[in-house]
Amino acid sequence: MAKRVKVIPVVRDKNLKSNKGRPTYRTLKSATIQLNDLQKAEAVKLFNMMKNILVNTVLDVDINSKKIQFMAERILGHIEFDIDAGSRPLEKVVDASNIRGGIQKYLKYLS
Amino acid sequence: MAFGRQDNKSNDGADMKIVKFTTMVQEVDRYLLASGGRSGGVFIFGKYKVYYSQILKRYNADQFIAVMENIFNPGKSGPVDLIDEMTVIQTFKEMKNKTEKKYTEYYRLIFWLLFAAAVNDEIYNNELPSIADLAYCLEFNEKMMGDWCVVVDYLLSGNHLDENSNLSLESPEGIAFFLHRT
Repeated sequence: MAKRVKVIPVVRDKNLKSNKGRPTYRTLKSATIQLNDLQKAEAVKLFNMMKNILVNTVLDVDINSKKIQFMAERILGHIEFDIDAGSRPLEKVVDASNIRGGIQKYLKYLS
Repeated sequence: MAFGRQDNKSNDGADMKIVKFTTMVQEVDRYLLASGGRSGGVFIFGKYKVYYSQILKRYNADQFIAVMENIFNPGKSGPVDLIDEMTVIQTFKEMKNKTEKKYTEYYRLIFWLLFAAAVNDEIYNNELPSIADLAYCLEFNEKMMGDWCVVVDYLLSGNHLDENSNLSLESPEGIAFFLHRT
């Protein structure tokens, strides 16, 4: 059974800053496509491949944005990939917590 | 002379803070390791250790981060190794064969990364998106992330972490990992 999915590959872009001045994400391209079951199975494999790209970025390996874009374009049209649905809510949870500047609290406790 | 004595006193105070911080980090890590059935030691983390080491190395001008680097990465003075793409793919293959012990390592890794972000504003400002990405890859959800932050805040407020800690945790993973309860 075919399923419509929206493809939104995004990468972290150090040149693009959020309101708080931290590096944030940008969307490379997006498209809506049809997938059948076979394509969906293939999509899972490709999704894992995209995760590898993500982790490469996370690990700060020397992988430039051109290479990320190239790989993202290779999988464009095959998979559903939306970091917004994944890691950004986790980032928001941390932002909403009290941990920023926690060392000051600790030093105050020690003094 | 009197100034010198005051200066020494001030240095002693700073040294004592470092000593207390070191002891706290060591004790907490020993306690967290116990939840994975290990008795202690340095990080095993698998390939993710490199990421953690890079963070500590990059920001070790901060004396508290330097303490953490010394604890988790003792004697490592050379450049941090880089990971190639194949190593990352291998890591994901390893992740498919998950065991409870490996989960414990992932939980521990994210905990110390968040702790480092709380200790150093530069890490918070520059690395938080990467830490969130990594947590997402390691299957953290929002409740878990919230719990991990609660514990970081709890410790930096001067509290002691053990099975009887007065913590309101929401995720079963957090309760098992931090309070050793199932």
